[in-house]
Order: sequence, then C-alpha cells, then structure tokens
Amino acid sequence: MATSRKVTLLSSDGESFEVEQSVAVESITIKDSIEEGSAGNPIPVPKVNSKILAKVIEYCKKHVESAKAEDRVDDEDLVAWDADFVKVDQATLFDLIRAANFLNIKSLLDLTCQTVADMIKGKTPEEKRKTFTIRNDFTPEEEEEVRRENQWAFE
Amino acid sequence: MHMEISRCFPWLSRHRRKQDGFKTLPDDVVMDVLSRLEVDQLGHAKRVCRSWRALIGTAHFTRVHLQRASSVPVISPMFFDRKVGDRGFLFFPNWSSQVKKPIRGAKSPGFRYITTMCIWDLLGCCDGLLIFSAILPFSIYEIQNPVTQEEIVWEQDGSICGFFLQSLPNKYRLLSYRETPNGFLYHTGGLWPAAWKNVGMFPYRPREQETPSGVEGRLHWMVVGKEGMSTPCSHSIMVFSTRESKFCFMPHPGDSCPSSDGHSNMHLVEMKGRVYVYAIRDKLMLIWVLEDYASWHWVKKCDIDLERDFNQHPASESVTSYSDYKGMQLIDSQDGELLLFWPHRGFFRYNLRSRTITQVMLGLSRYGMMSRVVVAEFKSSLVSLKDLQ
Repeated sequence: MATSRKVTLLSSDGESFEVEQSVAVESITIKDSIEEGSAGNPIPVPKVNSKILAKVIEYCKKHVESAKAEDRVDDEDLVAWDADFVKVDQATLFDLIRAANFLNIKSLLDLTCQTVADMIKGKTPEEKRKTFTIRNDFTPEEEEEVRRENQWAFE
Repeated sequence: MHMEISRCFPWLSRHRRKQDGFKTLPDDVVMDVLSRLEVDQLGHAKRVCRSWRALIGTAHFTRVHLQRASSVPVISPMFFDRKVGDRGFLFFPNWSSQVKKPIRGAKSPGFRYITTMCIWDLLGCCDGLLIFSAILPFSIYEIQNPVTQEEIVWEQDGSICGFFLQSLPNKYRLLSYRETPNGFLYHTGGLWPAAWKNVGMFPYRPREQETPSGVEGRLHWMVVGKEGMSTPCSHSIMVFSTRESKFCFMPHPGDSCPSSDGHSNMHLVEMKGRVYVYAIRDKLMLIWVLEDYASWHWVKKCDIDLERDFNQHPASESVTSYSDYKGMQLIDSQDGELLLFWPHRGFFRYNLRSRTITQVMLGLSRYGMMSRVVVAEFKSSLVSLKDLQ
C-alpha cells in the first residue's frame, strides 16, 4: 500500500492544503469520494473555510500519528492534546462541530460535542442562555408550563 | 468576492458578532450534544428555549440519551421482618461510603388505601422504568420512573416475570406466566391495550424474587419446576428472546451439580451490560461471564476464596460454618472491584488484584435484619409512561 500518497484539499475560500492520503481519509466523506473515484483533484471541501480546515487537518494528522506510534503510553498525552485543541473561542468550536459533522470525522465530532456538553452542564437555564447567546423565546405562560413539567429536576 | 472583502477588512472577521451557535447546527447534532447531559441537567435544558424543549421531548431523543447512559445497580433490601404496608425503599450504591438518596415508593392516589395493604417486591427494570409487584392481597403491579416520578398501578392475573422493549414495534411489553396442571403457560402483552399473546407452555418458571438479567434483547433467569423442584443442569437457565418471542433452556456454566439441589446456590446477575453467573461452592465464590451468546460460551472470570479473603475482616468473626457464606450475593463490578452483599452483615468491596475487602457503609442501620437483596440494573432516563401505550 502506497503510504506516502498525497492529496490536495481545497477550502471554501480557495486555499489549498496538501496532506497525506492516510490523514485525509480520517474523514469518511473524503474517503468515500476517493474510493468512488468521484473526488476531483484538488478535492473541494465546501462549507469549510481555510482556518477551520487547517485545524481539522492538524487534528487528523495528530490522531493518525498517534495510532501509528509504537508507544501506547501516548494515550494520556493524546487526551491532553485533545483538551488543548478544543480550547478555542465558541464560534470556532461550533465551526469545528459543523466541519466534523460534514466531513464525518467521528472522533472529532465526539470531542467537540462533548466539549460543548461540558459547557452546558451545571448552569441554570439563564446561565446556559447567556453562555451561548440563546434567545429565550418562551412566552411567560410557556415558561411556567415547562417549569411545572420539570419540577422533578429541582427536588 | 467574500475573500477579497475579508482581505481588505481583516478586522471584520475578528469581530464576528456572537450568535447562538446551536442555530447553525443540524438537529441531530444538537441532539448529540444534549444527549450527553445527565437526566437532571436535561430538566434545566428544557427551560432554555423552545427548540431545546422540543428536541428533548421527542421519543427519539429519549432513546439516543438512553443509549449513552451507563447503568448502575438499584438495590431493594429484603428485611427479615417485613410487614404489610412496608413500602421499603430502593437505593443506588455509590461505591464510596456515602449513601445516595433512597427513593421512596410511589404514591398513587387511586390505590393509596390498597397499597398500604401490600408488601412490594422489585421485579425488574427496563430503560429506567422500575416494575414492582405486590404479594398480597392480590396481584397488583406498579411501573415507575423514579426520575420523573410518573407511575402507574394496575391489577393483573398471573405472575409477571419480565418487562422489556420489543423492537418491532417499538413498544414496552410484559412477560407473565400462569401455573396450569400441565406446566407454566407464558404470555406477552402490553399495558393498554393488553392484547396478550401465548408464547408457550413449559415445565419451568423463574425463581422467586430474582430479577431477570437482560442483555441484547434477551432475558435470562434461573428456573425451577413445579413446587420449586430443581431442574436438570442442562435446563437450568431460561432465555427469552424479545425479538422472536421465543424461549430456550440452556445449561449453566461449570460442572454438573452433584446433588439435585446443586444449582440452588447459583445465581444470574447482570453487571455493566453483561450476564454473569456466580455460585457459592464450599467456601468459594465462582464467577463466570457469558462471552458469546450464539455459542453459549461462558468464561470463568475468577474464584474468590471467601474463607481466606474475608477471614481478616471483623465481620467474619461470627462465621461458624460454610453455610454462613452461602447467601452471599454479587451485585456490581467496577474498575477491578466487585460489590458483594453478605446477609446480616452488610456490603463489601472486593479488590480482585489485591484480594482485599473493605466494608461499604451505606447509611443503613438494620443490616442484622437484612437477609438478602434484590438487584436490577438501572439507567436514569426520561422515558415517559405514555410510551407504554
């Protein structure tokens, strides 16, 4: 198997990234299009801009390298690396979720979704709204109804 | 075009107005994020906005959330001196010494008078719904979601021995049996409408006060024959496939039992999604795990030398003979440790590697009167009793 085959990915804003095929196929979306022979050259990645694509590639590279490593002690290091990787501003985090979902990279989707879930935990509804700039679109009556329905959560 | 503008005005992209990121995600991804929250957090999450409330309220979300949830054992202690009207309580053992809040039995307005006349038994658990039966004065049953505190009580003929989700169609079903002169007649059915369906007549029934071990759409019980007679070793475990509504009878792991009473000391237990059998033989606890159902392949997990390992503990001072270990129960397994119940003495953690034991104080005071426990695997969920229809 030719391990040093390279592919070129093209971000939505026209930037090219040359990567090892083994890294690119961390994305099932890309893997499928290569296998089906429908991938162009370069492979266009719509909806993902260069900033995010660069980060996604960084993630995939790290994970492919770690999987190859002889030294299994790297597991803890990888977890720490992942934790650092998601220390980004909220907008970027959501961009990464969308990219991971579109590109179908399960481990990255898991990591980013879990990060957001951890941000939601332990906050009152109002704090949750503030954290994510969510608009409270309940009418006062609806709000009272939901509060009553979920009374059990507050005991 | 967009590219040119952001090159000319780089500050534009840096000062992107903060917006609700969730609105940019597809529903199934928002569901992925929310399904990672604990059940009590979901109660708060429903109050955030309409779309979260709507998403969390769907049956699909409940299933996704359930799949992520890890199960914990729920324990119903049986006291030697149980009285009518004794609701008893359930608790979830926390592996550290602190006790979790005991759950009181449900209060059901329509049946309040009746329920005070009963002694309730834990029959099992499915998807976060607990099912109880009352021994006297007649057969009534209760299903409860202890998280949302929804409950339903109803009267029914026959003995319910199983409660499961039938995948096609996605409905919760009950399995019950009735004794007839020719054997035990089994039926499956729902709550409303009941629509009972005959699934076979067999010479065996599940042992009393033992919950089924349910894994991968199959329920398992140790069985006995009429009048509690022991079954042959080859037919000691009854398996019910919820997908096919079919029974089969399988042999227990290990050697055939020497006397006809041999496998009465053998028990099934479900721990962390797998089925185990444990048996007390002489002063050992032997434990097997079902590795592969299709080939009915059991693997011996370990042998615990109860006499040697429990000898150091003050609780064993009162041990006079092998029979003092006979009623020991295996409850849970976690991180290389087992949680055991020793009748009249309490709960213990057994470390498989160091073979040491630690007593777990669960804030209960009446161990001396606790003869055994009934255990079921429980997952906190938002499953609504409306889904029982």
